[in-house]
Order: sequence, then C-alpha cells, then structure tokens
Amino acid sequence: MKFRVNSPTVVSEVIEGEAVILNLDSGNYYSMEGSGAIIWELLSQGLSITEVSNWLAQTFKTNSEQMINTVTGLVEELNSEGLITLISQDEASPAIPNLESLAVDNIFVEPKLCKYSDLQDLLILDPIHDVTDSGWPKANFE
Amino acid sequence: MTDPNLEINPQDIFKNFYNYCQDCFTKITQARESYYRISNYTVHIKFANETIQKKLSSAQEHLIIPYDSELQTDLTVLVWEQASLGKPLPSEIRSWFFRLAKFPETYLAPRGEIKNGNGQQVLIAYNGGSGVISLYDINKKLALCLIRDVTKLPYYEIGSPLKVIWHWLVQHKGQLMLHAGAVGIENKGVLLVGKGGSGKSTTALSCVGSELKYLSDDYCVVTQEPNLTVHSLFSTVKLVGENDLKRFPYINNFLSNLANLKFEKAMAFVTQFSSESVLDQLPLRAIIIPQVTGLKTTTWEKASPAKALFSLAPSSILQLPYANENTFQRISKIASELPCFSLKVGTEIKQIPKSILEILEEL
Repeated sequence: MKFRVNSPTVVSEVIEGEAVILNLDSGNYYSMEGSGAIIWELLSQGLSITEVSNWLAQTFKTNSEQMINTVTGLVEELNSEGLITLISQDEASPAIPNLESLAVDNIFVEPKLCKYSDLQDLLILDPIHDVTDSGWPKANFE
Repeated sequence: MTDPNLEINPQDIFKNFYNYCQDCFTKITQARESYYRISNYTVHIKFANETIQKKLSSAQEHLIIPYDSELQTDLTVLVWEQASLGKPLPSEIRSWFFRLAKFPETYLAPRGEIKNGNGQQVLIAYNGGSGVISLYDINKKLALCLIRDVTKLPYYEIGSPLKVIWHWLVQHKGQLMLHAGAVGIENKGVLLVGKGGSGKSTTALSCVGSELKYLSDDYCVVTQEPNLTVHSLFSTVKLVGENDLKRFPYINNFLSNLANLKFEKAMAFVTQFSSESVLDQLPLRAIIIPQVTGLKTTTWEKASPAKALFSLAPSSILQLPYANENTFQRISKIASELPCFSLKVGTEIKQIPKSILEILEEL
C-alpha cells in the first residue's frame, strides 16, 4: 500500500532528522525522531509499506518481517490521526533518496509518534448554531 | 449538517459588507483616519469614530505616520461597529449570517475562515468570541472590519487589533506574521517563540529598560527580502497572574484592563511607559525558545532547528486564518537558517536580558 501526506490539511517538514507535523483541521501537532522521521519521509515520497520496510531492513540490517510489522503499525497510527491517505497502486514508485546519513548509529530504534493537543483551543471545534436579535451569529458562551 | 442551498461567493459577500460599511461612513461626520507603516507597507485605516480609533490604536501608536498627500497605500481598512452606531444590518448580510450560524460546518473552517476563500481574491474570517468579521479583497487593496459591539471586545482584540487583516496583508506580500516575541540590540534581533505560557512575555518585558530593545511579546512580522528582518506590529505586553505582576510592579500603573484581571491577562502598552525601549525593526539573527523553569537562575544552550519549528509553527499557523503549507514552509526555512537557542527562564528578572545578550554575542 502506498500513501501520501494528507495535504493541504496536514503540513510537515523533516529537519535534521526530526519530523514536525501539523494537522490544520484538528489542531493536533506531532513530532517524530530517528526511524519515525525516516519512515515519514519515505512514505510522504510515495514509497509503499513494503518498499519502506525493505529499505529499513537493508539499512539497519534487521529482519524484514519485523520491519513490515513496525512500519505497518506506524502507518495505522498515522492514518488514524488523519496525517496520511492511501494513494493509487498504479503510481510508479519514485527513486529512493539517500537517507543513510540519518541512520547515525546504524541501530534501529522503534519509531514513536508524539502527539500534542494543547493548541486545540485556538480552533473553533464547536461552532455556533444560532443568531442574535441583531442578526449576528451567536457565540458559544452566550 | 450541510446547507441544502450551498452557495459560497466571497465576492458577493464582500460586496454586501462593503456597501453596508460605505453607506454607514457616508452618513457620519465623526470618522477618524490614521496611516500606519510596517516594513515597506503603508496602511490607511478609517475608524467610524474617535472612540473606536482610540480603542484600536493604543497597541500601534508607534507605527502611525503623518498623512502625506503623496502617500501610496498598500491597503485601506474600514472599521465599523454596529451596536453603538445603530445602523441595522441589511437583509443580505442577515441572511448570510443566518446561514453561517445554521450550517457552520458548511461555511466555516476551524480557524474561522470562510471555506473556499483561500487562494481566491477575497478572504473572510469570522470570530464569534470577539464578534468581529474581517474581509479582505486582495485586488481592490481594501479590507473591512465589522465589530458587533466595541464595548464587548475582548482584551486580546484590543491588544492585537485587526490582527487577521495584518496577517493577510503580509501573507499576500509573501511575508510572515508570527506568534512570537522579538527583542534585540543594534543589528541583532531575536525571535522569542513558544506557545502561550512558555515565557515569551516575561522574557520580552524583562528586556524593557535594559540594553535590549523591545519589538513584541506576542505577534510580529518577519520579512525575508532583501534580508531577514523582524518588525514590530503591536507594542502590547500581556502578563498572567499575580506572580508576573509582582516581578514587574511598575506595570500595575499602566494596565489598560485593571478592572478585568479576574478574567483577562494583565495588558499594557510599552509605548505608554517606555517608548524609548520600543524599536520598529531589526535584522533577524536567531531564534530563542524560552521556557519558564521556576528556578532562580536563567541559563541557555543551543537548540535544534526542529525544536524551533515545533515551538513556532503550530501556534502561529493555528491562529491565523488561511495560513497554509506555504506559511509552514517559510517558517521552516527561517528555522533552518537561523541559529536556535533554548532559554531556561529563571525568576531573577535581570538575568534574562543578560543571558540574551550573551546569546547575541555568540552570533
């Protein structure tokens, strides 16, 4: 299965091996380091779960099946958060970028998606449903 | 629930509001006008009366420039308030407001922007908590700010007046409005970044009266051409709680919302008690991530650009309607290009500007 970043709702950047991801609709934001950032980078470039897993297994000299389980688990989490969407299997896979410099220790550490919801109060997640006598939409607290 | 008569035409919506505002302005004699300069942009704001002008100008007194017949403006803003001025809303606006209220999920995105407006000629955002609707026609260089009741404007609207419209102006020009404080000296400015409560305001205010100059505590503008520059937008400072007010006791004499401290952050305008400390702009040289520790001493260390992006981008983008992937990428570029530092903010106030000066010496 192949995925892409769920843009324009989701924006992200990988800087010096750390992924920073923001969901504009939910107000949640996320960070991932190490293998998580690498997996995010590879998935967002359209590589399939199998291709990502094989690349990780080769780079970190680990078991392919273990990598498939790891990547699949992370993909499920990213999908449930609305951060990625499935794309057509017909799309050709891109060339794999050189990310070996990110695997500094050559030791694979399980990816972890850190989620933050403390900015949700900046968003209107419970919109208004009524108008005042003057014709203005009513604010929730009125 | 979706509006069965779904119709989103931002141009028509703007036209209805503009006709209403224009009609209102032609029938009054007490309108007031000011001209503001930020970076290379000149903005002409027309207020319906002096009361509204005074309320919404305190935070930007330092940006007002004298009128000159040769001034070329980048934007004209009409600011009208309905409750005291008494002109009822016309049926077209009432009808649209009704549909907005009845089917908010159809029309409103989470940051209050009207859907289908992004990237179009007309931008519209509604803030129900403030009772403010902002409209901006990019091609006409014209914006409208309609306030339901200026006496009920929340303190944060007075502290950051027309924030959404300023954001749209600079975004349209390819620049950035950021949720960040800014201080600096001579040719070295720094951003202070982090979500609310992280210590931006304490850090910024601690610099007032020191060698460092003050540009902002909450929002600023960053332009990227020809060089990275940070610009003051509001001279507001906001503090939370009794401890903050004890650390800066002189502020109590200048609070603009003394009667409402049970419900609001304490708010003052630096231009009103230390105008010599306020600077319009500085070259931007670094990003600092303050973090209040509760300990006595302030210390600092280098931080990763990812941490700077993490501290700056979410709170900037989530509160600015129509900020999007381009905004995020511009912020990311700044975080990647500038050295970043963590500032562990202690309770000894004088140490804070001292630590920032040490950081600036590193640059």
